[in-house]
Amino acid sequence: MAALCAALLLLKPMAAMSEADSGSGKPASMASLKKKNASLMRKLESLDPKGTYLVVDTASNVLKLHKSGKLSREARISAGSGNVLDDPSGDRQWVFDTPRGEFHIRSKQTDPVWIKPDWAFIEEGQAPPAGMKERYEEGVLGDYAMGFGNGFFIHGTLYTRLIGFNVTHGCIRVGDDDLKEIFAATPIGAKLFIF
Amino acid sequence: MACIALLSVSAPTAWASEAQERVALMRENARIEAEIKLASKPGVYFVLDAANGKLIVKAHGKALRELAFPEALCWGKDAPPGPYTLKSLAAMKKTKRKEIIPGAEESGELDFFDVNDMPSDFRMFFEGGLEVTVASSSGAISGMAAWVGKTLWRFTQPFKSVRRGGAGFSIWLATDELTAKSVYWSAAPESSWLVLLP
Repeated sequence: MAALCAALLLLKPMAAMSEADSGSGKPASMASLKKKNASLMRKLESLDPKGTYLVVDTASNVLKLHKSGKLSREARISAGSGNVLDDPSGDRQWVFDTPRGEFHIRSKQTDPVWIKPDWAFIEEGQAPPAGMKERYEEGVLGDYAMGFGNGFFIHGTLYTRLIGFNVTHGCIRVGDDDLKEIFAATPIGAKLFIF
Repeated sequence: MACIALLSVSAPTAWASEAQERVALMRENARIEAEIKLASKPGVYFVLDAANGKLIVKAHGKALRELAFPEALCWGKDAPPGPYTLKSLAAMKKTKRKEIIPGAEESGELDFFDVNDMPSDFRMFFEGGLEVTVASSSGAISGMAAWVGKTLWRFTQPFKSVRRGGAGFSIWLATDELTAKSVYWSAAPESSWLVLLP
């Protein structure tokens, strides 16, 4: 019996010593590890995006609308073409990628009017106009637009046959039916994740 | 005596099992702690679960997309889950963007830079000496190339490990061509990653 107890004492501490808790040097009990695990899981879950948010996958050109943690709608989209335009004056270069990371919806507009930036003129071989009036173009952004910063929008398009291909200058183009639903469901401030 | 003999045989097995469960739980806790650091900040991050052959794109702890790797090999010392910063990618196939000529007439053909232009065989280099090789194994020719690549990878790891002074570790992943290209497309330098080893 004494020999058995000695054997038991020898085996258990050797296993425990290899799992010393960081910091204290004492082995962590299963109960404390499980408690810590539950606490960490709760903390991680509390960081989940809340409410309505959008996810754009530029590899497969898909936008997903999530509401209250559930997938509500999935839409084919067009993301940036990745093409490069150099300003002939040599000062500027534009790379037409859709930006990646975390954003939020900053503005919402119905019947948006496109205010053409300089690259839109340069691309056509024209000099950018001095005045603002020459820059307005109606009807090309569809029925709705949602801005997410730095001049980038989720908007509609006349070129619906091109949806699913990377053809934009960085904005995200969505088909009419999908855009109507997404626009109605997405409040200002909603998170947008693009990768 | 028979009972004592049984006890002395089963007790070590039970303790070994509890010890394994403890270690697994400690690793899981370390993984969650590392993820909380990334999930608490704005932005998208990546979780490479080499143990289960998955790459998960996440934000704030939420999975945005999951990509599968049917084959995963690891070499090197066990290492913490991270986070690790991706520093660079390297591939034989070079990607090239189209340059727009101002005023040029449109050819009528679509010309853009997308996931299909990405390499399907490449390496990713992270801080801390972590290196991940991605190989595509679709089709007979790619499959053979992947097998050769995997064999070469295995052969070179001991030498690379010595060159690194024993630090760092390497992972080799094989998947279909589109998934490999999607990883290259999505993996941006300076992005944050967690890496879970078996």
